[in-house]
Amino acid sequence: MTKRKEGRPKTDAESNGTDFTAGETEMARTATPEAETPTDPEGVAKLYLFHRAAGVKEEVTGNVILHLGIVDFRDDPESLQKLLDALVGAKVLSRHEALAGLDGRKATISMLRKIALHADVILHPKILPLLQPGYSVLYQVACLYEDLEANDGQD
Amino acid sequence: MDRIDRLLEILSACDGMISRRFVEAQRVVLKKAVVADAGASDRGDEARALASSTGDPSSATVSPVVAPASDFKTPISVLFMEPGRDDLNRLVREDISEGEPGCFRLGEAVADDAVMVIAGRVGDLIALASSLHWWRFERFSRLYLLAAPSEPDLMRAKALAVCVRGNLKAAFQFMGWPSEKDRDPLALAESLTEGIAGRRVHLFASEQALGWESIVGDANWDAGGPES
Repeated sequence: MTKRKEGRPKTDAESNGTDFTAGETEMARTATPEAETPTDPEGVAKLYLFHRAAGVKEEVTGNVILHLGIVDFRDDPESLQKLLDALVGAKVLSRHEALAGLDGRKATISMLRKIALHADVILHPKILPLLQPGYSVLYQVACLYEDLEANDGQD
Repeated sequence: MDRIDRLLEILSACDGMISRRFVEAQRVVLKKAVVADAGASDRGDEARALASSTGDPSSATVSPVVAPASDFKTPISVLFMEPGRDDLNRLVREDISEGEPGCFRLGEAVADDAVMVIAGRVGDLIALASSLHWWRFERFSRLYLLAAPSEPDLMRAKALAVCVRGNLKAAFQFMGWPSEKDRDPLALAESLTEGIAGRRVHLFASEQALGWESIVGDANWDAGGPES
């Protein structure tokens, strides 16, 4: 439990025993539209999982867009470099990775593209509900699927 | 079974949030299972051929697959370790009287051209310097802080110590301070030793990692040798 300062009135959330200070709880509450905030436990869990899945969908969609852009610019080094530089500015890639272009081993860009190539697997209705946003875990899931494919090929 | 269903089965076995490390570990398990199946299949074919030629059905028995981490002979090119507090306390003891643990015995297999990378706090690495002989190294060749120091005292700063032997001595260099997201010690060790061929062993691992013989938990201290 976060230590509370003396003299400040408790909010309902604190009185109910949540682990947040009043300020943190209220900040989280205001981040969600009032109409969407459920009051029953099942509703809270359902809404949380809905937003988590939406986060994965958004991330995969972004990677697909990036992958398609790279394919479009593959014969246009100047545009491709502009794209990579923009990603450096947004802290997606390191400067070193951008300079290495698309050839860097284990480069972040390769990982993002592999996620895009396996979007159908990651967004499959049976798989999506289990996943958390984050490129490193989604990349590994894509690799695991490739491993399963490769094994099937050996059967 | 459909591949999606197999993927679902693997992911569903995770207790808690599905992490990168969990999925990496499942890939290692899958890879080992494939290798074991292939080996068993090969041995089965040989045994069946033998049984057929000798008329002895008992010779069709398939011998178990030897765990790679109990192999103290195949030369190790890269040895990486992340000892925890308890492991460190045991590693720096001078009287190892209860039989030589596997984590030390693996030193017999460290190649003449080899690299050892140890992740830990600077203070712990200094303490460990007197135990390097177990893995046939004499001294640290490099000591890399993982972030720019925030205070003059470095004892608690996280670092990677590198021991190098043989013809690999000039190969290692960080390009700059690793970013927050790139500060995973195993990933940094992989980056530092990229291009070095041969066997790679990860001692005191918390989980299996792709491309490494990962020795997890108490298996490091088994007197008969750690098991993967």
